[in-house]
Amino acid sequence: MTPDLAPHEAPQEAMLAELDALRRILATAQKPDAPANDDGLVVMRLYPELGLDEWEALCRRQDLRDWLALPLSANPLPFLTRIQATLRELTFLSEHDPLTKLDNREAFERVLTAELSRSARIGQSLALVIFEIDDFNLINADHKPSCSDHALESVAALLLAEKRTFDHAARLGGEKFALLLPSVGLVRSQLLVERILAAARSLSISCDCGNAPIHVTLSAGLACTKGKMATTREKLFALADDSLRRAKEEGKDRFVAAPIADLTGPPEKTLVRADEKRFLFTGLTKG
Amino acid sequence: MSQPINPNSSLSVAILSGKGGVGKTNLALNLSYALFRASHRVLLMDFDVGLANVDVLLGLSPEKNLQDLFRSEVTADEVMLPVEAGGFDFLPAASGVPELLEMDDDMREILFQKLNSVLGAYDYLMLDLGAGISQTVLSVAAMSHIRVLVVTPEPTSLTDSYAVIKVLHTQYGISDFHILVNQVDSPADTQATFNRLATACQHFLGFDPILLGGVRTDPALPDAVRRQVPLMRHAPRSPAAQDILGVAVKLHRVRQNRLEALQNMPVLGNIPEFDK
Repeated sequence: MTPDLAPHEAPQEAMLAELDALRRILATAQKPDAPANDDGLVVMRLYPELGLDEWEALCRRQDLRDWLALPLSANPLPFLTRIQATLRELTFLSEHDPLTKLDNREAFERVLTAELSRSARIGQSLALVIFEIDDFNLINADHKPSCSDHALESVAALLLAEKRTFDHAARLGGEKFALLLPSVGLVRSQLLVERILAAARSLSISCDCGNAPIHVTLSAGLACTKGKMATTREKLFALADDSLRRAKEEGKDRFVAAPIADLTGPPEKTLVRADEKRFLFTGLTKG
Repeated sequence: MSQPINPNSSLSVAILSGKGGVGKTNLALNLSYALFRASHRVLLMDFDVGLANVDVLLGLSPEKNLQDLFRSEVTADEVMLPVEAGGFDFLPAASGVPELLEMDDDMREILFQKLNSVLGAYDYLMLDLGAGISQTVLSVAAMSHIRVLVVTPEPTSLTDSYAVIKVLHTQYGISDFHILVNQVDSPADTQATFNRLATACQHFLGFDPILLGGVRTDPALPDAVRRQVPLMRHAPRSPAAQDILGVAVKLHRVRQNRLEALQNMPVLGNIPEFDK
Protein backbone atom coordinates (compact mmCIF):
# COMPACT_ATOMS: atom_id res chain seq x y z
CA MET A 1 0.00 0.00 0.00
CA THR A 2 2.66 2.53 0.96
CA PRO A 3 5.89 1.42 -0.66
CA ASP A 4 9.25 3.09 -0.18
CA LEU A 5 8.23 5.65 2.41
CA ALA A 6 11.10 7.78 3.61
CA PRO A 7 11.61 7.73 7.42
CA HIS A 8 10.42 11.36 7.84
CA GLU A 9 7.14 10.42 6.17
CA ALA A 10 6.42 7.68 8.71
CA PRO A 11 4.25 9.86 11.01
CA GLN A 12 1.84 10.33 8.10
CA GLU A 13 1.31 6.57 8.09
CA ALA A 14 -1.06 6.94 11.00
CA MET A 15 -3.10 9.53 9.14
CA LEU A 16 -3.29 7.38 6.01
CA ALA A 17 -4.39 4.38 8.01
CA GLU A 18 -7.07 6.50 9.61
CA LEU A 19 -8.31 7.79 6.24
CA ASP A 20 -8.29 4.29 4.88
CA ALA A 21 -10.34 3.00 7.79
CA LEU A 22 -12.79 5.88 7.40
CA ARG A 23 -13.17 5.12 3.70
CA ARG A 24 -14.02 1.51 4.38
CA ILE A 25 -16.53 2.43 7.08
CA LEU A 26 -18.22 5.00 4.82
CA ALA A 27 -18.38 2.52 1.95
CA THR A 28 -20.23 -0.05 4.05
CA ALA A 29 -22.20 2.34 6.24
CA GLN A 30 -25.98 2.22 5.86
CA LYS A 31 -27.26 5.18 3.86
CA PRO A 32 -30.84 6.45 3.57
CA ASP A 33 -32.63 5.07 0.48
CA ALA A 34 -33.41 8.44 -0.99
CA PRO A 35 -31.21 11.12 0.53
CA ALA A 36 -32.53 14.65 0.33
CA ASN A 37 -30.56 16.87 -2.03
CA ASP A 38 -29.25 19.09 0.73
CA ASP A 39 -28.14 16.19 2.86
CA GLY A 40 -24.39 15.78 3.31
CA LEU A 41 -21.56 16.28 5.76
CA VAL A 42 -18.03 17.53 5.69
CA VAL A 43 -15.89 15.26 7.84
CA MET A 44 -12.96 17.17 9.33
CA ARG A 45 -9.80 16.28 11.14
CA LEU A 46 -7.11 18.69 12.22
CA TYR A 47 -3.48 17.93 11.26
CA PRO A 48 -1.34 20.64 12.83
CA GLU A 49 1.91 19.58 11.16
CA LEU A 50 0.70 18.97 7.63
CA GLY A 51 1.60 21.54 4.92
CA LEU A 52 0.32 21.92 1.36
CA ASP A 53 3.38 20.26 -0.21
CA GLU A 54 3.17 17.16 1.94
CA TRP A 55 -0.56 16.91 1.35
CA GLU A 56 -0.07 17.13 -2.46
CA ALA A 57 2.58 14.43 -2.34
CA LEU A 58 0.20 12.22 -0.38
CA CYS A 59 -2.64 12.87 -2.82
CA ARG A 60 -0.51 11.84 -5.76
CA ARG A 61 0.77 8.70 -4.10
CA GLN A 62 -2.40 7.53 -2.40
CA ASP A 63 -5.06 8.53 -4.89
CA LEU A 64 -6.67 10.99 -2.49
CA ARG A 65 -7.95 13.30 -5.18
CA ASP A 66 -11.46 13.28 -3.79
CA TRP A 67 -10.24 14.55 -0.38
CA LEU A 68 -10.08 18.26 0.20
CA ALA A 69 -7.73 20.14 2.51
CA LEU A 70 -8.09 23.73 3.68
CA PRO A 71 -5.77 25.70 5.98
CA LEU A 72 -7.32 27.21 9.11
CA SER A 73 -5.38 30.44 9.31
CA ALA A 74 -3.05 30.74 6.32
CA ASN A 75 -4.02 32.11 2.87
CA PRO A 76 -6.53 29.61 1.36
CA LEU A 77 -5.73 30.61 -2.25
CA PRO A 78 -2.99 28.01 -2.92
CA PHE A 79 -5.30 25.30 -1.57
CA LEU A 80 -8.24 26.42 -3.69
CA THR A 81 -5.98 26.65 -6.75
CA ARG A 82 -4.88 23.14 -6.05
CA ILE A 83 -8.53 22.00 -5.92
CA GLN A 84 -9.23 23.80 -9.18
CA ALA A 85 -6.28 22.10 -10.85
CA THR A 86 -7.50 18.74 -9.61
CA LEU A 87 -10.94 19.38 -11.08
CA ARG A 88 -9.36 20.29 -14.41
CA GLU A 89 -7.23 17.20 -14.30
CA LEU A 90 -10.25 15.01 -13.53
CA THR A 91 -12.24 16.56 -16.37
CA PHE A 92 -9.34 15.94 -18.75
CA LEU A 93 -8.95 12.37 -17.51
CA SER A 94 -12.64 11.71 -18.01
CA GLU A 95 -12.25 12.43 -21.73
CA HIS A 96 -8.65 11.48 -22.47
CA ASP A 97 -6.38 8.54 -22.28
CA PRO A 98 -3.88 9.33 -19.47
CA LEU A 99 -0.90 7.82 -21.31
CA THR A 100 -1.27 9.16 -24.86
CA LYS A 101 -3.50 12.18 -24.09
CA LEU A 102 -5.69 11.22 -27.07
CA ASP A 103 -9.48 11.14 -26.67
CA ASN A 104 -10.63 8.08 -24.78
CA ARG A 105 -13.29 5.71 -26.09
CA GLU A 106 -16.24 7.46 -24.38
CA ALA A 107 -15.28 10.90 -25.69
CA PHE A 108 -14.65 9.47 -29.15
CA GLU A 109 -18.04 7.76 -29.24
CA ARG A 110 -19.73 11.04 -28.33
CA VAL A 111 -17.94 12.82 -31.18
CA LEU A 112 -18.75 9.98 -33.58
CA THR A 113 -22.46 10.20 -32.76
CA ALA A 114 -22.45 13.94 -33.40
CA GLU A 115 -20.45 13.64 -36.62
CA LEU A 116 -22.70 10.85 -37.91
CA SER A 117 -25.82 12.92 -37.47
CA ARG A 118 -24.11 15.88 -39.14
CA SER A 119 -23.00 13.70 -42.03
CA ALA A 120 -26.54 12.40 -42.54
CA ARG A 121 -28.04 15.90 -42.24
CA ILE A 122 -25.85 17.51 -44.87
CA GLY A 123 -25.23 14.40 -46.95
CA GLN A 124 -21.47 14.45 -46.47
CA SER A 125 -19.01 11.60 -46.24
CA LEU A 126 -17.49 10.44 -42.97
CA ALA A 127 -14.71 7.90 -42.55
CA LEU A 128 -13.83 5.86 -39.47
CA VAL A 129 -10.51 4.05 -39.19
CA ILE A 130 -9.58 1.64 -36.41
CA PHE A 131 -5.86 0.90 -35.99
CA GLU A 132 -4.21 -1.86 -34.00
CA ILE A 133 -0.50 -2.31 -33.26
CA ASP A 134 0.43 -5.72 -34.65
CA ASP A 135 1.71 -8.36 -32.20
CA PHE A 136 1.65 -5.97 -29.27
CA ASN A 137 1.63 -8.94 -26.88
CA LEU A 138 5.15 -9.81 -28.10
CA ILE A 139 6.35 -6.30 -27.28
CA ASN A 140 4.78 -6.70 -23.84
CA ALA A 141 6.44 -10.08 -23.35
CA ASP A 142 9.91 -9.08 -24.52
CA HIS A 143 10.17 -5.63 -23.01
CA LYS A 144 9.60 -3.60 -19.87
CA PRO A 145 6.13 -1.98 -19.47
CA SER A 146 7.73 1.41 -20.13
CA CYS A 147 8.82 0.20 -23.59
CA SER A 148 5.22 -0.78 -24.43
CA ASP A 149 4.16 2.68 -23.26
CA HIS A 150 6.74 4.26 -25.58
CA ALA A 151 5.26 2.28 -28.48
CA LEU A 152 1.73 3.43 -27.65
CA GLU A 153 2.87 7.04 -27.28
CA SER A 154 4.75 6.93 -30.58
CA VAL A 155 1.73 5.64 -32.48
CA ALA A 156 -0.47 8.27 -30.81
CA ALA A 157 1.99 11.00 -31.80
CA LEU A 158 1.96 9.66 -35.35
CA LEU A 159 -1.83 9.85 -35.57
CA LEU A 160 -1.81 13.37 -34.17
CA ALA A 161 0.80 14.44 -36.69
CA GLU A 162 -1.03 12.96 -39.70
CA LYS A 163 -4.59 14.02 -38.89
CA ARG A 164 -6.06 17.33 -40.01
CA THR A 165 -6.99 19.84 -37.31
CA PHE A 166 -10.69 18.89 -37.39
CA ASP A 167 -10.15 15.11 -37.46
CA HIS A 168 -10.44 13.21 -34.20
CA ALA A 169 -7.88 10.74 -32.90
CA ALA A 170 -8.53 8.41 -29.99
CA ARG A 171 -7.08 5.51 -28.09
CA LEU A 172 -9.93 3.04 -27.84
CA GLY A 173 -8.10 0.93 -25.27
CA GLY A 174 -5.13 -1.43 -25.22
CA GLU A 175 -3.24 -1.20 -28.51
CA LYS A 176 -6.31 -0.02 -30.44
CA PHE A 177 -6.61 3.49 -31.85
CA ALA A 178 -9.16 5.27 -34.01
CA LEU A 179 -9.35 8.19 -36.40
CA LEU A 180 -12.54 9.96 -37.42
CA LEU A 181 -12.32 11.91 -40.67
CA PRO A 182 -15.27 14.23 -41.41
CA SER A 183 -16.02 15.07 -45.08
CA VAL A 184 -13.67 12.37 -46.33
CA GLY A 185 -14.70 9.49 -48.56
CA LEU A 186 -13.12 6.13 -49.19
CA VAL A 187 -10.50 7.20 -51.73
CA ARG A 188 -9.00 10.01 -49.68
CA SER A 189 -9.13 8.15 -46.38
CA GLN A 190 -7.34 5.20 -47.98
CA LEU A 191 -4.50 7.50 -49.00
CA LEU A 192 -4.23 8.77 -45.43
CA VAL A 193 -4.30 5.27 -43.94
CA GLU A 194 -1.58 4.11 -46.36
CA ARG A 195 0.55 7.07 -45.33
CA ILE A 196 0.06 6.30 -41.62
CA LEU A 197 0.89 2.62 -42.10
CA ALA A 198 4.07 3.55 -43.98
CA ALA A 199 5.06 6.08 -41.31
CA ALA A 200 4.50 3.46 -38.58
CA ARG A 201 6.87 1.04 -40.34
CA SER A 202 9.67 3.58 -40.17
CA LEU A 203 9.12 4.41 -36.48
CA SER A 204 12.14 3.66 -34.31
CA ILE A 205 11.00 3.44 -30.69
CA SER A 206 13.59 3.69 -27.93
CA CYS A 207 13.88 0.67 -25.69
CA ASP A 208 14.51 0.95 -21.93
CA CYS A 209 15.77 -2.63 -21.72
CA GLY A 210 18.99 -1.66 -23.43
CA ASN A 211 18.07 -3.53 -26.60
CA ALA A 212 17.81 -2.27 -30.15
CA PRO A 213 14.95 0.16 -30.91
CA ILE A 214 11.48 -1.36 -31.22
CA HIS A 215 9.76 -1.47 -34.60
CA VAL A 216 6.01 -1.74 -35.07
CA THR A 217 3.49 -2.24 -37.84
CA LEU A 218 -0.20 -1.37 -37.82
CA SER A 219 -3.30 -3.09 -39.15
CA ALA A 220 -6.29 -0.92 -39.96
CA GLY A 221 -9.99 -1.30 -40.73
CA LEU A 222 -11.76 1.42 -42.64
CA ALA A 223 -15.48 2.14 -42.86
CA CYS A 224 -17.11 5.01 -44.64
CA THR A 225 -20.58 6.50 -44.96
CA LYS A 226 -21.63 8.87 -47.73
CA GLY A 227 -24.28 10.40 -45.51
CA LYS A 228 -27.03 9.33 -47.91
CA MET A 229 -28.37 6.50 -45.81
CA ALA A 230 -28.82 6.81 -42.06
CA THR A 231 -26.49 4.55 -40.12
CA THR A 232 -25.60 4.15 -36.46
CA ARG A 233 -22.40 4.44 -34.49
CA GLU A 234 -22.58 0.74 -33.70
CA LYS A 235 -22.97 -0.23 -37.36
CA LEU A 236 -20.06 1.93 -38.51
CA PHE A 237 -17.90 0.62 -35.68
CA ALA A 238 -18.84 -2.97 -36.54
CA LEU A 239 -17.92 -2.39 -40.21
CA ALA A 240 -14.52 -0.91 -39.30
CA ASP A 241 -13.89 -3.62 -36.73
CA ASP A 242 -14.72 -6.35 -39.19
CA SER A 243 -12.37 -4.81 -41.75
CA LEU A 244 -9.63 -4.65 -39.10
CA ARG A 245 -10.17 -8.32 -38.32
CA ARG A 246 -9.80 -9.14 -42.01
CA ALA A 247 -6.65 -7.02 -42.29
CA LYS A 248 -5.12 -9.05 -39.46
CA GLU A 249 -6.24 -12.34 -40.97
CA GLU A 250 -4.73 -11.39 -44.29
CA GLY A 251 -1.32 -11.00 -42.68
CA LYS A 252 -1.30 -7.70 -40.71
CA ASP A 253 0.59 -4.52 -41.62
CA ARG A 254 -2.18 -3.60 -44.05
CA PHE A 255 -5.64 -2.12 -44.16
CA VAL A 256 -8.98 -3.38 -45.40
CA ALA A 257 -11.85 -1.07 -46.36
CA ALA A 258 -15.46 -2.08 -45.82
CA PRO A 259 -17.81 -1.62 -48.78
CA ILE A 260 -19.64 1.72 -48.57
CA ALA A 261 -22.99 0.89 -46.99
CA ASP A 262 -24.81 3.70 -48.83
CA LEU A 263 -23.84 2.22 -52.19
CA THR A 264 -24.61 -1.38 -51.39
CA GLY A 265 -28.07 -0.77 -49.97
CA PRO A 266 -31.32 -1.61 -51.72
CA PRO A 267 -31.77 0.10 -55.12
CA GLU A 268 -33.51 3.47 -55.25
CA LYS A 269 -37.17 3.17 -56.08
CA THR A 270 -36.59 5.54 -59.00
CA LEU A 271 -34.25 3.01 -60.66
CA VAL A 272 -35.32 1.91 -64.15
CA ARG A 273 -35.08 -1.88 -63.84
CA ALA A 274 -33.92 -4.32 -66.49
CA ASP A 275 -37.46 -5.62 -67.12
CA GLU A 276 -38.71 -2.07 -67.73
CA LYS A 277 -35.88 -1.42 -70.20
CA ARG A 278 -36.48 -4.72 -71.94
CA PHE A 279 -40.12 -3.85 -72.35
CA LEU A 280 -39.30 -0.43 -73.81
CA PHE A 281 -36.90 -2.05 -76.30
CA THR A 282 -38.92 -5.11 -77.25
CA GLY A 283 -42.47 -4.61 -76.06
CA LEU A 284 -42.21 -7.91 -74.18
CA THR A 285 -42.64 -8.21 -70.43
CA LYS A 286 -40.94 -11.60 -70.23
CA GLY A 287 -37.31 -12.05 -71.31
CA MET B 1 -64.51 36.51 -53.32
CA SER B 2 -60.73 36.61 -52.87
CA GLN B 3 -58.32 37.80 -55.57
CA PRO B 4 -57.22 34.91 -57.82
CA ILE B 5 -53.51 34.04 -57.64
CA ASN B 6 -53.23 33.74 -61.40
CA PRO B 7 -55.94 36.05 -62.82
CA ASN B 8 -54.76 35.62 -66.41
CA SER B 9 -54.79 31.79 -66.14
CA SER B 10 -51.18 31.65 -67.36
CA LEU B 11 -50.19 28.08 -68.17
CA SER B 12 -46.65 26.93 -67.41
CA VAL B 13 -45.38 24.19 -69.71
CA ALA B 14 -42.16 22.33 -68.89
CA ILE B 15 -40.60 20.81 -71.99
CA LEU B 16 -38.16 18.03 -71.17
CA SER B 17 -36.77 14.90 -72.70
CA GLY B 18 -34.35 12.90 -70.64
CA LYS B 19 -32.16 12.24 -73.66
CA GLY B 20 -30.42 15.13 -75.39
CA GLY B 21 -30.59 15.81 -79.13
CA VAL B 22 -34.22 14.89 -79.63
CA GLY B 23 -35.17 18.35 -80.88
CA LYS B 24 -36.54 19.67 -77.62
CA THR B 25 -35.28 23.24 -77.97
CA ASN B 26 -36.54 23.57 -81.52
CA LEU B 27 -39.96 22.28 -80.51
CA ALA B 28 -40.10 24.66 -77.54
CA LEU B 29 -39.21 27.59 -79.77
CA ASN B 30 -41.62 26.72 -82.57
CA LEU B 31 -44.50 25.83 -80.27
CA SER B 32 -44.02 29.20 -78.61
CA TYR B 33 -43.97 30.89 -81.98
CA ALA B 34 -47.12 29.07 -83.13
CA LEU B 35 -48.97 30.08 -79.97
CA PHE B 36 -47.83 33.68 -80.42
CA ARG B 37 -49.07 33.67 -84.03
CA ALA B 38 -52.45 32.56 -82.70
CA SER B 39 -52.57 35.82 -80.70
CA HIS B 40 -51.35 34.46 -77.38
CA ARG B 41 -48.73 36.14 -75.25
CA VAL B 42 -45.81 33.78 -74.75
CA LEU B 43 -42.66 33.85 -72.66
CA LEU B 44 -40.09 31.30 -73.75
CA MET B 45 -37.67 30.62 -70.96
CA ASP B 46 -34.41 28.85 -71.67
CA PHE B 47 -33.99 26.69 -68.62
CA ASP B 48 -31.38 24.47 -70.20
CA VAL B 49 -29.07 26.02 -67.65
CA GLY B 50 -25.46 25.23 -68.22
CA LEU B 51 -25.89 24.52 -71.94
CA ALA B 52 -28.34 27.10 -73.24
CA ASN B 53 -29.10 27.37 -76.95
CA VAL B 54 -32.40 29.13 -77.63
CA ASP B 55 -30.55 32.40 -78.24
CA VAL B 56 -28.54 30.74 -81.02
CA LEU B 57 -31.69 29.42 -82.72
CA LEU B 58 -33.10 32.93 -82.63
CA GLY B 59 -29.91 34.66 -83.79
CA LEU B 60 -29.88 36.79 -80.62
CA SER B 61 -26.92 37.69 -78.44
CA PRO B 62 -28.46 38.62 -75.11
CA GLU B 63 -26.42 40.82 -72.79
CA LYS B 64 -27.98 39.49 -69.62
CA ASN B 65 -29.29 36.06 -68.71
CA LEU B 66 -30.94 34.02 -65.98
CA GLN B 67 -27.79 34.09 -63.89
CA ASP B 68 -27.91 37.89 -63.64
CA LEU B 69 -31.20 37.58 -61.76
CA PHE B 70 -29.24 36.45 -58.72
CA ARG B 71 -27.85 40.00 -58.50
CA SER B 72 -30.25 41.98 -56.37
CA GLU B 73 -30.29 45.08 -58.58
CA VAL B 74 -31.27 43.19 -61.75
CA THR B 75 -35.00 42.84 -62.47
CA ALA B 76 -36.70 40.24 -64.67
CA ASP B 77 -37.64 42.94 -67.22
CA GLU B 78 -34.00 43.76 -67.81
CA VAL B 79 -33.15 40.18 -68.66
CA MET B 80 -36.02 39.49 -71.06
CA LEU B 81 -35.74 40.16 -74.79
CA PRO B 82 -38.58 40.57 -77.29
CA VAL B 83 -38.50 37.95 -80.07
CA GLU B 84 -41.50 39.46 -81.82
CA ALA B 85 -43.19 42.69 -80.87
CA GLY B 86 -46.59 42.26 -79.29
CA GLY B 87 -46.14 39.38 -76.94
CA PHE B 88 -43.39 36.89 -77.72
CA ASP B 89 -40.54 37.33 -75.26
CA PHE B 90 -37.52 35.30 -74.44
CA LEU B 91 -35.59 34.82 -71.22
CA PRO B 92 -32.10 33.54 -71.93
CA ALA B 93 -30.07 31.21 -69.74
CA ALA B 94 -26.32 31.05 -69.25
CA SER B 95 -24.08 28.59 -71.06
CA GLY B 96 -21.09 27.04 -69.35
CA VAL B 97 -22.23 27.64 -65.76
CA PRO B 98 -22.38 24.18 -64.17
CA GLU B 99 -23.45 25.58 -60.76
CA LEU B 100 -26.86 26.43 -62.21
CA LEU B 101 -27.44 22.74 -62.95
CA GLU B 102 -27.73 21.96 -59.27
CA MET B 103 -29.57 25.07 -58.11
CA ASP B 104 -30.51 24.80 -54.48
CA ASP B 105 -33.82 25.91 -52.97
CA ASP B 106 -32.48 29.36 -52.14
CA MET B 107 -31.36 30.00 -55.71
CA ARG B 108 -34.69 28.80 -57.13
CA GLU B 109 -36.58 30.93 -54.61
CA ILE B 110 -34.67 34.11 -55.62
CA LEU B 111 -35.24 33.33 -59.28
CA PHE B 112 -38.94 32.57 -59.05
CA GLN B 113 -39.73 35.50 -56.79
CA LYS B 114 -38.36 37.84 -59.44
CA LEU B 115 -40.02 35.95 -62.28
CA ASN B 116 -43.43 35.75 -60.62
CA SER B 117 -43.82 39.52 -60.98
CA VAL B 118 -43.71 39.26 -64.79
CA LEU B 119 -45.12 35.80 -65.50
CA GLY B 120 -48.73 36.80 -64.97
CA ALA B 121 -48.63 38.97 -68.11
CA TYR B 122 -48.33 35.94 -70.39
CA ASP B 123 -50.79 33.28 -71.49
CA TYR B 124 -48.07 30.67 -71.78
CA LEU B 125 -44.79 30.19 -70.00
CA MET B 126 -42.76 27.73 -72.06
CA LEU B 127 -39.80 26.28 -70.12
CA ASP B 128 -37.13 24.63 -72.21
CA LEU B 129 -35.49 22.30 -69.69
CA GLY B 130 -32.17 20.59 -70.20
CA ALA B 131 -31.62 16.93 -70.85
CA GLY B 132 -30.91 14.59 -67.97
CA ILE B 133 -32.39 14.28 -64.50
CA SER B 134 -30.59 17.03 -62.60
CA GLN B 135 -32.34 18.39 -59.53
CA THR B 136 -33.06 21.65 -61.37
CA VAL B 137 -34.77 19.87 -64.27
CA LEU B 138 -36.82 17.73 -61.89
CA SER B 139 -37.98 20.48 -59.57
CA VAL B 140 -38.88 22.93 -62.36
CA ALA B 141 -40.80 20.14 -64.09
CA ALA B 142 -42.63 19.47 -60.83
CA MET B 143 -43.42 23.17 -60.32
CA SER B 144 -44.98 23.57 -63.79
CA HIS B 145 -48.65 23.06 -64.61
CA ILE B 146 -47.99 20.53 -67.34
CA ARG B 147 -45.01 18.53 -68.55
CA VAL B 148 -44.35 17.83 -72.22
CA LEU B 149 -41.92 14.98 -72.77
CA VAL B 150 -40.22 15.02 -76.13
CA VAL B 151 -39.35 11.51 -77.32
CA THR B 152 -38.17 10.04 -80.60
CA PRO B 153 -38.76 6.49 -81.88
CA GLU B 154 -35.18 5.58 -80.87
CA PRO B 155 -35.11 3.00 -78.04
CA THR B 156 -32.60 5.04 -76.03
CA SER B 157 -34.90 8.06 -76.16
CA LEU B 158 -37.73 5.86 -74.87
CA THR B 159 -35.74 4.54 -71.90
CA ASP B 160 -34.40 8.02 -71.04
CA SER B 161 -37.83 9.62 -71.05
CA TYR B 162 -39.26 6.69 -69.13
CA ALA B 163 -36.52 7.29 -66.51
CA VAL B 164 -37.58 10.96 -66.23
CA ILE B 165 -41.22 9.90 -65.85
CA LYS B 166 -40.36 7.32 -63.21
CA VAL B 167 -38.24 9.71 -61.14
CA LEU B 168 -40.89 12.46 -61.26
CA HIS B 169 -43.57 9.93 -60.40
CA THR B 170 -41.80 8.25 -57.49
CA GLN B 171 -40.13 11.37 -56.03
CA TYR B 172 -42.80 14.01 -56.65
CA GLY B 173 -45.95 11.92 -57.08
CA ILE B 174 -46.59 13.31 -60.57
CA SER B 175 -48.76 11.19 -62.89
CA ASP B 176 -49.69 13.51 -65.73
CA PHE B 177 -47.32 13.68 -68.67
CA HIS B 178 -47.95 14.86 -72.22
CA ILE B 179 -45.95 12.98 -74.82
CA LEU B 180 -44.69 14.66 -77.97
CA VAL B 181 -43.07 12.26 -80.45
CA ASN B 182 -40.48 14.00 -82.61
CA GLN B 183 -38.63 12.87 -85.75
CA VAL B 184 -41.29 10.43 -86.92
CA ASP B 185 -41.90 9.17 -90.49
CA SER B 186 -45.65 8.78 -90.19
CA PRO B 187 -48.62 9.00 -87.80
CA ALA B 188 -48.26 5.22 -87.35
CA ASP B 189 -44.71 5.83 -86.16
CA THR B 190 -46.03 8.35 -83.62
CA GLN B 191 -48.64 5.94 -82.36
CA ALA B 192 -46.24 2.97 -82.10
CA THR B 193 -43.70 5.02 -80.14
CA PHE B 194 -46.33 6.46 -77.84
CA ASN B 195 -47.91 3.04 -77.28
CA ARG B 196 -44.61 1.52 -76.22
CA LEU B 197 -44.04 4.26 -73.63
CA ALA B 198 -47.68 4.38 -72.54
CA THR B 199 -47.89 0.63 -72.01
CA ALA B 200 -44.70 0.68 -69.93
CA CYS B 201 -46.13 3.50 -67.75
CA GLN B 202 -49.39 1.60 -67.40
CA HIS B 203 -47.74 -1.74 -66.69
CA PHE B 204 -45.00 -0.65 -64.29
CA LEU B 205 -46.21 2.65 -62.83
CA GLY B 206 -49.98 2.31 -63.04
CA PHE B 207 -51.00 5.39 -65.03
CA ASP B 208 -51.48 6.53 -68.65
CA PRO B 209 -49.59 9.41 -70.22
CA ILE B 210 -51.39 11.63 -72.76
CA LEU B 211 -50.40 11.81 -76.43
CA LEU B 212 -49.92 15.41 -77.52
CA GLY B 213 -48.93 14.56 -81.09
CA GLY B 214 -46.11 13.70 -83.48
CA VAL B 215 -43.78 15.89 -85.52
CA ARG B 216 -42.31 14.56 -88.77
CA THR B 217 -38.65 14.62 -89.73
CA ASP B 218 -38.32 17.55 -92.10
CA PRO B 219 -35.34 18.91 -94.10
CA ALA B 220 -36.79 22.40 -93.65
CA LEU B 221 -35.86 22.29 -89.97
CA PRO B 222 -32.05 22.14 -90.27
CA ASP B 223 -32.39 24.85 -92.89
CA ALA B 224 -34.27 27.08 -90.44
CA VAL B 225 -31.67 26.35 -87.73
CA ARG B 226 -28.86 27.43 -90.06
CA ARG B 227 -30.72 30.65 -90.84
CA GLN B 228 -31.39 31.19 -87.14
CA VAL B 229 -35.12 31.74 -87.57
CA PRO B 230 -37.98 29.65 -86.18
CA LEU B 231 -39.17 26.96 -88.60
CA MET B 232 -42.71 28.29 -88.22
CA ARG B 233 -41.60 31.55 -89.83
CA HIS B 234 -39.05 30.09 -92.24
CA ALA B 235 -41.30 27.37 -93.69
CA PRO B 236 -44.78 27.57 -92.20
CA ARG B 237 -46.18 25.09 -94.73
CA SER B 238 -43.51 22.43 -94.22
CA PRO B 239 -44.72 19.09 -92.77
CA ALA B 240 -42.99 19.65 -89.44
CA ALA B 241 -44.44 23.17 -89.11
CA GLN B 242 -47.92 21.81 -89.80
CA ASP B 243 -47.47 19.14 -87.15
CA ILE B 244 -46.22 21.69 -84.62
CA LEU B 245 -49.25 23.84 -85.34
CA GLY B 246 -51.45 20.84 -84.52
CA VAL B 247 -49.62 20.34 -81.22
CA ALA B 248 -50.01 24.06 -80.41
CA VAL B 249 -53.75 23.76 -80.98
CA LYS B 250 -53.89 20.81 -78.56
CA LEU B 251 -51.87 22.74 -75.99
CA HIS B 252 -54.31 25.62 -76.37
CA ARG B 253 -57.18 23.21 -75.65
CA VAL B 254 -55.43 22.02 -72.51
CA ARG B 255 -55.33 25.59 -71.27
CA GLN B 256 -58.92 26.30 -72.30
CA ASN B 257 -60.10 23.29 -70.32
CA ARG B 258 -58.28 24.49 -67.23
CA LEU B 259 -58.88 28.26 -67.38
CA GLU B 260 -60.86 28.36 -64.17
CA ALA B 261 -58.67 26.01 -62.17
CA LEU B 262 -55.53 27.84 -63.32
CA GLN B 263 -56.74 31.06 -61.69
CA ASN B 264 -56.11 29.52 -58.30
CA MET B 265 -52.72 28.08 -59.14
CA PRO B 266 -49.49 30.09 -59.13
CA VAL B 267 -47.78 30.17 -62.55
CA LEU B 268 -44.92 28.23 -61.06
CA GLY B 269 -45.90 26.18 -58.03
CA ASN B 270 -44.13 26.11 -54.72
CA ILE B 271 -40.74 24.51 -54.53
CA PRO B 272 -41.76 20.88 -54.28
CA GLU B 273 -40.77 18.69 -51.41
CA PHE B 274 -39.89 15.13 -52.08
CA ASP B 275 -39.04 12.26 -49.84
CA LYS B 276 -35.45 11.18 -50.03
